[in-house]
Amino acid sequence: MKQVEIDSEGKVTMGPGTLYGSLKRMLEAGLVRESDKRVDPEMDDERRIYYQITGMGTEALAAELERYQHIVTIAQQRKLFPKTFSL
Amino acid sequence: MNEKTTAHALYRKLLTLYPRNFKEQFSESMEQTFNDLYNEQKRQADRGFFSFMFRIFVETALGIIKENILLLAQGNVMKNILTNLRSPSIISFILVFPFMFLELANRRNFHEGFPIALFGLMWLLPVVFILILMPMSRSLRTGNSIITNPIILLIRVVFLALIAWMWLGLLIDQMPCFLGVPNCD
Repeated sequence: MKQVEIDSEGKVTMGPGTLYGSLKRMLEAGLVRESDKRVDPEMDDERRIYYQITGMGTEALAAELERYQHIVTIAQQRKLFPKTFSL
Repeated sequence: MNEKTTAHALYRKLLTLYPRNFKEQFSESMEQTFNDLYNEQKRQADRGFFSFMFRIFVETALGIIKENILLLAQGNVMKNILTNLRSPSIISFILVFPFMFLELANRRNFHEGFPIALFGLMWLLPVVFILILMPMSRSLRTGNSIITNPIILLIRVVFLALIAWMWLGLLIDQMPCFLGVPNCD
């Protein structure tokens, strides 16, 4: 949640309701799964559940990034970026 | 009860409003996340603490609404309601059908309209009766006591008696019509 806020420069703030709702849908879609890895139980609550991206999740992420990249490329080719915008 | 305990108790209460599956899967993790956020916010500063807490509660409440709507949209709840209604509907129809038959057979020469509202009510009352009775019968079958909450039991019994009284009253009142007595209403 903190990372989302940092990455969006404070424009997006995510709470537990949004986070766990998204997590549920990603679990159902097979994009993430519960991780077997646990941090040192003495340093952390051992009931805490960690999640990791699955193979399918990695593929979906790559496809989505590729889609964004394609859109940006088209926008560059057609000179659609505003003059104030630089990449 | 200190501030932290109160906030946690309130948040735990709020989480009970999530659909059952969601609650079973995530409520513990959500509590842990809330705990982390709470501690972090407290460490940073007391300024803006209440607005932060308010934001977390509102955001979670919106999540609850969203998950319940999604569950409804999936049709699981509607499916359960329809499944629960099927047996009472059929039993009630079997109960009312002989009187419908009598009405059709004995009053066919009177050229009156079929009393849809009357039979609708005669069908609906037993449906409600069975729906009230079902949780009690389920408790008895599973070996649970039905008097764990005497007030609810009393309310149920009163409603059952009222419905039975209304249905029998209706039946006795309309029996002459079912039997083909002229000029009855």
